[in-house]
Amino acid sequence: MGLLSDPKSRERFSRIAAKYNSPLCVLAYVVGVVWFLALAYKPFNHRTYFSENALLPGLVEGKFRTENVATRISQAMKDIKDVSKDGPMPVAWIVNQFRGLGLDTYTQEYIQTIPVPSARQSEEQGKEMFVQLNGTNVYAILRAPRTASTEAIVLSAPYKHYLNMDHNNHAFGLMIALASHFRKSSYWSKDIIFLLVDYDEIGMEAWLQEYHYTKSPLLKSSPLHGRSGSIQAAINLELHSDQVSHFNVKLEGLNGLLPNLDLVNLVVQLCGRERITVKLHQQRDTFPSEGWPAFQQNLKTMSLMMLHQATGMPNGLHGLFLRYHIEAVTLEGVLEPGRSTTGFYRMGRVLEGVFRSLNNLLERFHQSFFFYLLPASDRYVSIGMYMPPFGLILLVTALKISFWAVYIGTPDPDPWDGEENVVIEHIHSKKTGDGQGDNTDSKRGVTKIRTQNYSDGDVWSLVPVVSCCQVAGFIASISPMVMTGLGHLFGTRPYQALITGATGMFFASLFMPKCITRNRLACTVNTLRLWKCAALVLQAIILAATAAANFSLGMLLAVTMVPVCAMVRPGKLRFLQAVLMLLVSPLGLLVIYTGLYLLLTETEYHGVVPSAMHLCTVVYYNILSGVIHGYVLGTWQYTLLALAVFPNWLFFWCIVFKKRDVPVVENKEEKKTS
Amino acid sequence: MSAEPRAEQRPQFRPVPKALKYIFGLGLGARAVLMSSHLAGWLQDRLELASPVTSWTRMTEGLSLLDHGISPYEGDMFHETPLVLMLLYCLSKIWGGLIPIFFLLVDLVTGCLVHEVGTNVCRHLLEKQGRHVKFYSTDSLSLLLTGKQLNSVPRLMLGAYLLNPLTIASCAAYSTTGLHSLVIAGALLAAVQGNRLLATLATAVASYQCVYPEIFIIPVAMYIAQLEQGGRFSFRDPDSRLSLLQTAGGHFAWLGFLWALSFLPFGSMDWLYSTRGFVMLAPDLTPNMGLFWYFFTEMFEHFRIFFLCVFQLNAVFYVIPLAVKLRDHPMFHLHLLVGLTAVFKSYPTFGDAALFLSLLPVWGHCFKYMRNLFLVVCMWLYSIVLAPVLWHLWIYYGSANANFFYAVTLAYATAQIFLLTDLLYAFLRREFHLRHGPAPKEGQGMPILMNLK
Repeated sequence: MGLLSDPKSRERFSRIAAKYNSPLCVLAYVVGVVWFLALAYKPFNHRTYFSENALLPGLVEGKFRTENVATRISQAMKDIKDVSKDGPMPVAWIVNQFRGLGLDTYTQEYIQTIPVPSARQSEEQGKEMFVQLNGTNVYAILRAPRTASTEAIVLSAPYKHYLNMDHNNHAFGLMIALASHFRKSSYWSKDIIFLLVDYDEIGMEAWLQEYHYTKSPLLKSSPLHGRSGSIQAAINLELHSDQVSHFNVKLEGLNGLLPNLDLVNLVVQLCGRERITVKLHQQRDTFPSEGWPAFQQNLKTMSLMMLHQATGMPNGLHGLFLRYHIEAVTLEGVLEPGRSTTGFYRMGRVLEGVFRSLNNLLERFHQSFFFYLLPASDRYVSIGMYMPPFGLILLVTALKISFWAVYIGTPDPDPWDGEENVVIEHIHSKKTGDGQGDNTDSKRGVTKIRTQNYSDGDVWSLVPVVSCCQVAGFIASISPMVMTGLGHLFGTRPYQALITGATGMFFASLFMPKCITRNRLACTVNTLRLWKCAALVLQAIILAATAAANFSLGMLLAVTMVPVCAMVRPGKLRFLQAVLMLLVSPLGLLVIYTGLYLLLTETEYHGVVPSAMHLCTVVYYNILSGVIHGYVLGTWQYTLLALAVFPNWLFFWCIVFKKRDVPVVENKEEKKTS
Repeated sequence: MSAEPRAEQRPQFRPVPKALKYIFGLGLGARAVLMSSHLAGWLQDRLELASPVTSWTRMTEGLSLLDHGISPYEGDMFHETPLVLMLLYCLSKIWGGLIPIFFLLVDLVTGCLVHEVGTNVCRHLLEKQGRHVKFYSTDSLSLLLTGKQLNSVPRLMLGAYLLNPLTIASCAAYSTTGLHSLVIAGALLAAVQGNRLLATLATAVASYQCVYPEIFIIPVAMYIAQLEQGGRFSFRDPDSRLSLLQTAGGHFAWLGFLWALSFLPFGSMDWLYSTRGFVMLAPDLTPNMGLFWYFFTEMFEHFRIFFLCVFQLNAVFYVIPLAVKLRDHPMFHLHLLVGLTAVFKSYPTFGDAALFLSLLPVWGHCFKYMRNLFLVVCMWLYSIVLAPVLWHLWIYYGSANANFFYAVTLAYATAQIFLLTDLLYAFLRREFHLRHGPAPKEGQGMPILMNLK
């Protein structure tokens, strides 16, 4: 409490904070960034371990021997696919496969409306304005012989792969093989639900919504006729061939949620037991695990994870389970040419082990971490380790806030040129009687004194600026949908209209500083100091709240925005500042981070122009999917950027372009007498 | 100051009605829009806005139980007072659309009351300054209050109440916190007007409704006694004691009357346990913005009674040291108590704090001695933004846990306590400067450094 109540120590603190402000800020930022990057280095992170002892991984003997079923079924499904190319899911055939094993099998139909006007349909009939998807999910429940269906585990698979639209027939084959193996055993104490979903995330969302009785206005589905208990965990399976070289484990879920680290450990451990290589984001763990190359590799893995997490979009079907408090991961079997491969037998044994461990669970996953970053599949960085460097980066903002808070109201000339800092106030020209003289004054950039309270800065001037910025943000958040509606009238292609809506407001608001000219809102140096202080406070709040909900997004925003926004000042070097500010604008950041992602993942380099074109395309699709996912799945990243980050950025942008008013000390009485 | 020419002051008064219109229009408009938007349903379940006592969800439960002829106080669901229940029941029977109008009106009336409190307290401050000015140092003329300075205070208070996002959200959530603010504002107004009958009635209504305002009776009684006795007031003086006792007696008589009135609809006193007992014993440990829930969930059951006493005493005890220290300033004392109970009560909401915030402009003349105002504002903003985020992470996603949310409530409470202590310090320091001049010197001519330890 000394600092709060003792004026001496308080003064000392503020003197130090003001005197060494810039070096302290640089130091905090550099230490924060270096510390954070160093977390990817082996001595600074920890080896993963099991917190939940009930899992007992690998203690049972694997008995899975029905891999020939998997081969047969996946081949049969492939044949069906070859006959009916791109046809709907062969529901009856799939139901028969499950029924043949004696499982309770059900189907669920759904219609998802995507709020994007479809040009084709409206021309035909004019009644269906939006794109609609019809799909059918098939699921089968293996009832646990030991309990009364109070708990369940899910094994799910998408019918088609999302990207290449290839059939996921191998995963279905393995699913049937596992089902036929599991149903012979009597030790299950949790129901096992086998789920095959159509249309990826939409189908999954439809099933989960119906299972948990939640409703969305855009999604209509038939009720589920068969149910089980509360779902404890889920494994989602994607196999690209019947022989895989490694499993790519996908973790990042909706809105940056991650599954409990115990589940990830479980999968990684059991894969290791069956000698299947595990990769994260297609990145192999390094050996030897120390040294410079290992550090580079780990940093790459961690960065990819952060970039994925920051988008808030699930990179597999597992991501949707996480919203319902169900721990889930996706196992993606990938065949990389030139590597040793593994067949259904060992994949089946891994999954058998995972399910038997999950079967042992006595409580929900709660022991291990929910907030972590993985630099390698067996190393983790927990929230306690990554928050201090993040805090150091935010400390830059905090130091700047305290700096400006000290300087508001002091006549100290130093920050931002003081010789102008005598007495300045609102222009009052229009209200005073003698308009002539005032106009000439304001043309020369001269403003008049009004109140005596000049030194503290004008708190009320914050109200119009902040509210203008917020209104701009609000418009940006609703404009994609408004623009698609308007574009529909003018016959624009819906996606183009959507992009126009999402970015149009951004470009339009770049001209906002023109609107708060001197005539509308005159500012003294102290008022501008106050603005800067308020903008920094808002920024710190936004970044802290974002980092609490989605750490990667908060961190990526903070690393770039904090140093630039801390340096922003009105007046000097306006062009350079504008360039820097544009780089850290929401759109600029999207381009930068998409570029970084491509740099880390793309192996081939085609030259500057094709790469730039590729980058633009990817950015385009990122914006598109960000907006559409917001409507369909409820991701909030676009809304956050539009409603919080963008207005705050705009505030700083206004500060850059705000002109200080040239002060003139005038004496009212003298004027009256004259 | 009084030397200010009158002609200067007159145009200052003219924009007032216009500003008031704007404030009323904006405040009511924002409330009405928010009430009719789809956010209203979400707001109703926000624990920051609706405590178990004031939640509208529970109120609907109570209304429907009453409709079925069951006393809502038999269960463990409903904790609002019988008179409010009967009032809302009548309204909902007449026409369901009256409910939102009722909540709008409550906030509107509270705004008016707060405005009146401002006007009256300012007048009271000026009068008091006039009486005491002969004791003040001749150097401290610049510290004296002027009518012009206090002119905008009631408007600011009205704006701070009606345009505060917290009260807007709280009103849109149909939280009866608005009603609590109304009765407390009524008590403040009646107190400053100094009419014993009205003041005791108003404090009785406030303490009937929200329990904690029971302690308001101490500064109110002191204020009335001081008005009656003038300069002769002292705790030892038998006349003063008689006056204090009369006020306290009046308060309890009114309270008894209100209880009797509440006895009538149900024919039993069960409601007393469900309302007052609920607030005092704090059996519902659903998380809220207060300090009780976390502590009592963590604690062994056999310490419960002891710590319950400690926590409740903490909420009310400060009235005694403050009564001693602020003997000459009962109005300031009363306003501090509004803030104190808003932090330490068992089921606080944002609406309670918002009422205290709207009282602050009256003490604007002390602000220049406050040292942590900026820090408090920042902490407040942080906790208001982070509370829903961490709540969501904890309850819906299951990834965070109770400690995250409790940290936010702690920060929120700390910010409020800082604000209160800082305000008290600023007030006392201003008093000191009034008596000793704005820049008092030590014997050697060194400037004195103020310190509060």
